[in-house]
Amino acid sequence: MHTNNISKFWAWLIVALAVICLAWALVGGYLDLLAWQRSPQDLTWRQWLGWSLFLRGVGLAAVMGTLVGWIILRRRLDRQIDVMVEACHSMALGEPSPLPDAPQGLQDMGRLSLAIQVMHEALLDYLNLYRRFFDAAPDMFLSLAPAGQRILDANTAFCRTLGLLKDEVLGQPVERFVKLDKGWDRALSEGGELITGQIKGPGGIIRVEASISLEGGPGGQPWVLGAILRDVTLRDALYSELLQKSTALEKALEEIKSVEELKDEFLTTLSHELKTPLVSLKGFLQLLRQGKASGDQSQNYLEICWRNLSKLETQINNLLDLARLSHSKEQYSLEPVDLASLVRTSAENLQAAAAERKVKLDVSRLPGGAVRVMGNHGKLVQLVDNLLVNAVKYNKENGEVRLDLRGEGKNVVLKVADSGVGIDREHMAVIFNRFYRADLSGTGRLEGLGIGLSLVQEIVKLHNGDIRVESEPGVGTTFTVTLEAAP
Amino acid sequence: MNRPLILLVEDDEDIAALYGDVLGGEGMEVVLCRSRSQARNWWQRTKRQPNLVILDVRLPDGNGLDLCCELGEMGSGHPHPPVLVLSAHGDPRMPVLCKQAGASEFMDKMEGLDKLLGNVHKLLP
Repeated sequence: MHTNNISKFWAWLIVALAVICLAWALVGGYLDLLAWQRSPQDLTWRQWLGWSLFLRGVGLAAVMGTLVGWIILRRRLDRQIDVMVEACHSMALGEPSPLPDAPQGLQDMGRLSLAIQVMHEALLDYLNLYRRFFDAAPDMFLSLAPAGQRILDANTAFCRTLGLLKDEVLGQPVERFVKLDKGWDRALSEGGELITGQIKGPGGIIRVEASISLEGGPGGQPWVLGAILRDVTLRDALYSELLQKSTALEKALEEIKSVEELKDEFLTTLSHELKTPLVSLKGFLQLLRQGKASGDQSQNYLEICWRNLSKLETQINNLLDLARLSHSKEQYSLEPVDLASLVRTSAENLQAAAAERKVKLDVSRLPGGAVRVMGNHGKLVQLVDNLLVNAVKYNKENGEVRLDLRGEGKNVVLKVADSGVGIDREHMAVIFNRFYRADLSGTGRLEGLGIGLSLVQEIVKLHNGDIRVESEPGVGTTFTVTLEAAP
Repeated sequence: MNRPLILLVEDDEDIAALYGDVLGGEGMEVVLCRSRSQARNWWQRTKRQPNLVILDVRLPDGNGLDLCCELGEMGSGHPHPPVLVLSAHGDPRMPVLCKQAGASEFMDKMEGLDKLLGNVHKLLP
């Protein structure tokens, strides 16, 4: 039977008994009174008063006794209920508080206590199941207060990520720890998707992906219940790395295509550059062989053949040198070389070709004496020749090539400056690339094999030197070569 | 009787001298132009239409095939002379490109003087 019903039963029983006792006293007194009136001679008024008082006294005593008993029972019940309520409150707060045994005479309350205890333990088991699930999750789980978005509960993963104790987290606004890229207000208004954000942990910024649980609050406003956060730092880093690699691969593919195009262009150019002198050689030799040339003509034809043969030899040597220098530099020994004398000789050799193009070679800044560097004589001749030939080739009519050579500390610096067409900023980075050829006239016509400056750079590397270029389109270009001075 | 007039557009000095000597030896009159612009100017000024044009593909100020198209477009009141295009290019697409540009014949310079003379005689009207 329910406890409330038990109390009511006893209450009604006590009241009924009291009423019966009172009624009995009154009815008894009244009957006695009637009996006394019928035969007053049988009973004196004293006797009647005695009986009446006695009977009423008994009735009142019975009523009083019943009331006192009820009060005592009621107080014991109240005490027991208070104890049980207090124990339930403690249990609700999660404090260990076993319900007390019921006192003697209140066994029904004892059963009630037991039932509460069993229910409490069942709830605890249920709660523990969710707690374990909550705390074992690698993702971060947050339970939030709907209105203020304060943290009601957080799992171990969240506290561990922040490097804080749970007590330091609970009750705090979630925005203090979790910054969503679009902000919490917008995230709550839009909802329904994964939202990116970040958490500041002890080891730095952690990128997260948040899934927010919402429900309709009062007035239809979204009402947040909680959030699940996933650490996507590694995934983002991998994605970023993948993106970088993909971009690098695309770039490499472009470069390969560009190299393929360059290779095709180079083969066409090589064919042209090697075949052009060969055409002259073959043709003039054919005329000589067929005896179709007079004496003077023969000499002229032979000169032309010789010149073209030399041109071929230079082209082939440049190509072979470039290939050799790129693969092995050990075979070239370095020894003291007088660079001043070498530059003067190269300038003198180029004087005729420069005059033909109406370009002045200014050697006035070259020192009169020797300026010695550690180098390979043959390669240094190639280096200087290539720089001078370029300076003349890319010059304007009535232009000038200025040569400057000086010692600077442990180094020797050679400058070759021309007043030519200059190099556009966009081409500066590629002029030393193999097979790059400059557009001389702006018509798209490209001269030579495009190996001159590449060869120059390889020779500078062979000498552990440095080469720099400064240029202004339409004004001119200056190449500065720094080499180690001979001791 | 006028000697056949040949316009030779060739930038390489030695090859130009070679072809000039060879064609001259065959009794032809050769006008040498070293660039596209020089050839264009000569074409506009000349009173005598050449009987044959020999063009090099790589010129200092442009492409010989473009010049071939230009000469066709410029006109001179006379029938367009045949054009022989020469190149040391080694580009296998060149014969097709030459035909597209309106040239009559293409030959690789390396094919030699006999082939050159054969083509010249074939193309001369």
